[in-house]
Amino acid sequence: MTPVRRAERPNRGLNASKLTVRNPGFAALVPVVFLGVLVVWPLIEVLVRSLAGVGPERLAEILGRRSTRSILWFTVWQAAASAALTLALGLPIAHVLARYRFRGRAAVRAIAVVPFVLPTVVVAAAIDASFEALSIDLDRSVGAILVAHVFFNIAIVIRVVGGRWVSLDRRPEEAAMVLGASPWTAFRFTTLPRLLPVIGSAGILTFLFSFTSFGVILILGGPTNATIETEIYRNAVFRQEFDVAAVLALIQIAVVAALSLISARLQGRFSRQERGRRRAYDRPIRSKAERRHVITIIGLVAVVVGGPLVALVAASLRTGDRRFGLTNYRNLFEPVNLLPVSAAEAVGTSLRYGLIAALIAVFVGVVTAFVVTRGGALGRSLEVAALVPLGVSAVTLGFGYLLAFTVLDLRRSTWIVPIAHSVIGLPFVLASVIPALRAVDHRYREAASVLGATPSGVVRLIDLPLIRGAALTGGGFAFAVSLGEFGATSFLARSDGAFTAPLAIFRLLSQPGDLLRGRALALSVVMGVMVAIVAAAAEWRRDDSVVSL
Amino acid sequence: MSGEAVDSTAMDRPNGRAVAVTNLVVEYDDLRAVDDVSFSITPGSTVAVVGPSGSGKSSLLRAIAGLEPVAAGTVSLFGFDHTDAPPNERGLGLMFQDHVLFPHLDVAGNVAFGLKMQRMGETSIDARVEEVLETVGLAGFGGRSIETLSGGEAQRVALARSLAPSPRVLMLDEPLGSLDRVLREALVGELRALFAELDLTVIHVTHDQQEAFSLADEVIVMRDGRIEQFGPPVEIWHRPVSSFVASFLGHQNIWQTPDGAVLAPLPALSVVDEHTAGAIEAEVLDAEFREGRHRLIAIETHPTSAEPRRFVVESDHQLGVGRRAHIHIAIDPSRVLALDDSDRE
Repeated sequence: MTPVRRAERPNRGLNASKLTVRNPGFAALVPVVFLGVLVVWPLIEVLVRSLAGVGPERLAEILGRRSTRSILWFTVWQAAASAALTLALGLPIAHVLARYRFRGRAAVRAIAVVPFVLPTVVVAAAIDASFEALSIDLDRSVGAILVAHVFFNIAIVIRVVGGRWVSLDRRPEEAAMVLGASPWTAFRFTTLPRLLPVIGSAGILTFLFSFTSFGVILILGGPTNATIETEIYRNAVFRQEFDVAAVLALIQIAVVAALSLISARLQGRFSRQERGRRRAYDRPIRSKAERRHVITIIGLVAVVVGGPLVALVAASLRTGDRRFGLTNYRNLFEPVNLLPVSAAEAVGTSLRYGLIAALIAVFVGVVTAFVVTRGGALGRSLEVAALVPLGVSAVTLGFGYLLAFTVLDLRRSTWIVPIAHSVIGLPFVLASVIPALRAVDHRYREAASVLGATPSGVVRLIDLPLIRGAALTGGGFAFAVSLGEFGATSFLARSDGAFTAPLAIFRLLSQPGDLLRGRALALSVVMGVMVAIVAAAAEWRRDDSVVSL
Repeated sequence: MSGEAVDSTAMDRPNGRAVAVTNLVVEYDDLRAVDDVSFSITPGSTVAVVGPSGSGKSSLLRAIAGLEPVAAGTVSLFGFDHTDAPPNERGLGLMFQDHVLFPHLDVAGNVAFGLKMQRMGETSIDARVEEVLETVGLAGFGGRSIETLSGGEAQRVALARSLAPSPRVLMLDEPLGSLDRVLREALVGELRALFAELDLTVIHVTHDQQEAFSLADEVIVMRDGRIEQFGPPVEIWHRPVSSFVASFLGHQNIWQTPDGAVLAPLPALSVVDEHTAGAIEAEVLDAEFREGRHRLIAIETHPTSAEPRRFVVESDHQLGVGRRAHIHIAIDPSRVLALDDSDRE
């Protein structure tokens, strides 16, 4: 029988949002400050440097340079070629995985996705090792870059297109064949039109990833094959030409933003289609010809995806001509002149940073998810701001930090690297936690509230337990991303204590010498295995989805 | 503590009512889900709120629980104004349609939830949980996970969860709506016994008038957000105020006359010989067999007004259906009720 004064309770009743966070002003402070300082401010610094800091004459001079134009041209065409090659190889694989039910299909699907979760430096190492195994001298060439991009991005085509394809209704195609169409004609007029938006979307994503590719090009491309990303890095870090770097970063941001918008449009188009009853697209293998086709495609996956992985492991075990052993792995514990710390210590730093980054990303991500799901203009703008790091590329972000945080002495700071990693991991946490939080039946909160739970009690006793799994998944991805992060780290890790394993791989790979190279490959295997295990564990409880991209 | 409540006027505490709602309005955008509703409930009684879907009965319940913002009017509990109190400070129990059990807690965790909110000690909680589970017939179910429960068991756990903290008023929102007929009838009986035993004040929202009439001391019939009629079940059944209430309850013989709508309860009509004085000739349209008698649906052959009357009448004899099957019907005028539909036309 508690009497309640009116003055104490200014808000009449409770709606969905008020029940979840009683004092949203305070909670909103966390993402606002985090994203404001770590995303918005650094990017504004980049914009100011490029737009205001560079006069029209200097701008004309930078853009007029032959080197600038060839950088832009090379960036675009290698990305377009990578996307086209990836689609050409990925679509037949996606088709077989969507069309036929066969034993081992899930395993083929899982293996095809492995390269996508690998750190870019490990991808580069694997391609490097493959070419050496084949005795093809494609090192430091465009060919190596394209192969690496196909190896890395084929997962996008298989997952995004394949996931959509298998969910399509197969009856329209069957109806067309009953009406006299050949299988190919039936496919072209019934299934293909429904797939085109998602093929376009996957193509754009592949183009974007190749466009902003950094580690692969730095390692495999050599100094002659420069892209926007690598030139931002070289201008900012080696030549101290910050304004050139800023102009390049601006171009990069503009292209990424435009393509992301188109991709989002396409995604909206295919997510709206096909509700209700349908027959799944996949069916058992019916003829010998089909069986041969499936086996051929499995062979293709084995060569394209499995080949480089096997080559990497084999090369890491090689200790000389026809001799194999664990020497390269034992050497990881030995100090080298080239590295400020031993490779094993760099792995330790990576693990420590991964843990810190994941913890920060999960904390900020969960609070942000609460603010975002409350809706409103603030929630929507936070959702967009949090996704920005996915688009602008880690290199641009790292460059922005370099410009914004001049007060920090990067030679001493060991904190900025894990914080940057948490910013890059945040979208993965949000992609996992926001849908989970939206899926919480609001009546659970109402039931708890009627039973006497305060608004903060509802969050603690209902919301948090129900999104725990999603938060762990997101945290796992953030951890994996941090382990492999190379772009931002290459700008920010200047002190010995901040030297991570991907930096070590890069430095060991860029120097000649078989001993160093052996260490680089062994370290790549170690990092690749760790990241794959973490990503697989995070993926474990989740359905196939585009979210993981 | 009660010092703040001194300013509440006599209207806020109408002689010891458990729940008093005055001029309550609940709005969603432009829709008035609850429109100027007033009523009160004596402690220990069971009130059923019935009406078709969309009549505002669930919104009314949610507003009393504090789950919907109130646009105007007041909600008082045991004499104190609670209009602006958040749900967790109202001390009410609410049982949802399709139970809404917390999926991350087991049966005992669900039942203990409200007790933990009251900061009851660990051992007292365990004892109380076991006691309440026994009351609802689920002794020993504490360790079961929610997914393993059948529909009926889940509903009992939901009941136990809302009963455990000894709520001042228990509110049920279509509590048996998701269960099949047999289970529902069994549970209605159990609920009635339970309410009497625990001397609970209960508000029970349902669209099933039979369920409402079996459980309630008083019934509120709602229509378009307003109270159409409020009274004991017997009174509402025998004296429905409008053709809306009459037809919602299942009365069949409702006719428009120049003087307004009238209702003839089923026993007022009988099939008679064609020579009986005042007999009305009607053509049989349909027939069914219910509870041992033939029930005929017939239409007036020589209508006195523009709209021919439709009769539902019981007969002991099976009669043909069709153009040639004519009967004669007598109506006992003393049992015909005038319905007041004036405000609706």
